[in-house]
Amino acid sequence: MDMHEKDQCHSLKSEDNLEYSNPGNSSFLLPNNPSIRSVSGNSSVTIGQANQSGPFSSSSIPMDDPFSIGFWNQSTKPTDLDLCKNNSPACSNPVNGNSSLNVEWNSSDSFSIGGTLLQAANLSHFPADKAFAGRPARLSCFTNSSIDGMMSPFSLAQSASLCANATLGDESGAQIEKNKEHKNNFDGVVVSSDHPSSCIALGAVKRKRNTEDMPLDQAQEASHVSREMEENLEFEQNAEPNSPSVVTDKPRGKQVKDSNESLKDEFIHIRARRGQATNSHSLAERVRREKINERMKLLQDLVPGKAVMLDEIINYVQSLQQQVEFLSMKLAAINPRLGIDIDSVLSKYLLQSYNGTSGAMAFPSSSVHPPVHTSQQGLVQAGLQVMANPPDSLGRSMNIQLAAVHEYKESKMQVSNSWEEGLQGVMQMAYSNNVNLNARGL
Amino acid sequence: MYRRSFKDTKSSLGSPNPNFSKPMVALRFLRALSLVRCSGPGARSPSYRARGIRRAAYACMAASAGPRRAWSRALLRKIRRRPGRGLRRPRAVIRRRRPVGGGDPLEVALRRLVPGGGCMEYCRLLEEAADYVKCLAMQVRLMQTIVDSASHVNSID
Repeated sequence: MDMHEKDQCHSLKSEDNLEYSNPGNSSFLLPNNPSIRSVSGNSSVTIGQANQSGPFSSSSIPMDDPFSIGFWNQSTKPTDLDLCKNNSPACSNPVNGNSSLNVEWNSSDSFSIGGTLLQAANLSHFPADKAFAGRPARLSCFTNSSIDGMMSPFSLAQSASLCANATLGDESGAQIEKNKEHKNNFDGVVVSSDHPSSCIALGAVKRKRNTEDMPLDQAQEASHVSREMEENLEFEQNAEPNSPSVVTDKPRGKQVKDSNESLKDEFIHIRARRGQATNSHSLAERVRREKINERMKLLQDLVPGKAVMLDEIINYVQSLQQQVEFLSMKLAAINPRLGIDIDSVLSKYLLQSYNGTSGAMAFPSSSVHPPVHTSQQGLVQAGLQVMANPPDSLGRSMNIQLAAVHEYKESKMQVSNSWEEGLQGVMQMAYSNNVNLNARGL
Repeated sequence: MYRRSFKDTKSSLGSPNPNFSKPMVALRFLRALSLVRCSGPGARSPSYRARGIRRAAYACMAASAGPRRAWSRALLRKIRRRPGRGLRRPRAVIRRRRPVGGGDPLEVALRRLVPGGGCMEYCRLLEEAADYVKCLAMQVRLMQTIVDSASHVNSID
């Protein structure tokens, strides 16, 4: 489980690099079997799953009603695309600028789990009437219990299976198996990591990062999570062992809401994390711990070499600061003779660039050097750029100086980094200016 | 003079990108360097200049990191505070949001290292530390390059 959590953290880190596909529109509720098969094939939690259910649950928290009702009502119809369309804009709104979150919905399986469960519930197998009939009944029960509870992937699966089982007048063996399979897979999904809380936590983390909010949100979401967890566990307790293979230990002693009594028989058994309390406090702590672990991993990635402990990171920071001191001393010693002209040249150069049309003028080094890997050619091109723009006197003088710099080029060494090349180019310009002016001055 | 250098740098180069952009830092730093030195190379001791350069380095780093970062804000505040400005911000910055219990010596040390680290929560501290390390490393590389090229130019003459 820890591995999965760490994977989740990693994926969070790399969320920007995930390929973006059209969120939720096409593959959210695929009426095709391939998605179902993909779910069944995926017994272990993947990163994407966590990410997906994260945004899902996090986005669902602010907006419950339109999503839920629209979701359920529309899911009964064969027009999945409409549902998807309703979902994605609705869901994407409350998420604060998290296009990445919406995107991740699509990219892997946990969402399709809910979708496919829904489909398994009604679309291809049951007559639409039964689905229609069964769904709103379950829906009302769910809305009574809690909308938050509905929103978790747990509850999605649960409700889907609920509807599936409830509306089944006569279950085919294959159907039951398929449901069980889905349930099992979902259990695997749920179990192998602290799924809902971690998803929500991850969603919370993502939102956090984007908005830089207070930990209040975390607490709220943690409380949401805890409510969901409690309800899920309630469902578990009330459930008659429908799929006996999946029953595991469930924490007892949760209060049962009356509206859920009728749903006793058809719940999925979801394995809660063993020995984990489902207090809001502990959930929030878990969220926080995951956040901290993720940040620690970030730090450790930044520090070169193996940095298992925070100690090494501290040493690294200290060494960096000492290096800054040392280099500043070195610079102070080595450059007493740079004159004021650098300032004027640079400032006017930059002002020109900002006033001018081409913004690339400001950083000729940076813009030019990436395609070119020699400082010499870069300087030439920089010079060309300078000459292209309408020259004032300064520009002309700079052109001249650039030409002068050209003579120095052969002696300059190659640097691997392009921006360092650019820096060197700028430095050469500056120094050449200085040299010329000094020579003229003397 | 250092104040002027920093302010001029900031105003002339415009608002920094929220993303950390290396050329910005480089140019900014060079500018600051030149301004530091323009006070009269002979008039000041190298150590004085060294301190000024260090200050300029940190200022450039913080300025280019952007105001969204807590450490950059704290760093700039620390740098600007030295001249003893009478002007205080009208809105009170809430410091010491959560005073550290100081249980973990590592954490305490990290708080001391990272600018602005005294007031943050632990996970925020880690985040800021990561960003700070990144910018510091970049600044060090920049300065190293400058020194190398400067020495190279010097050796040519």
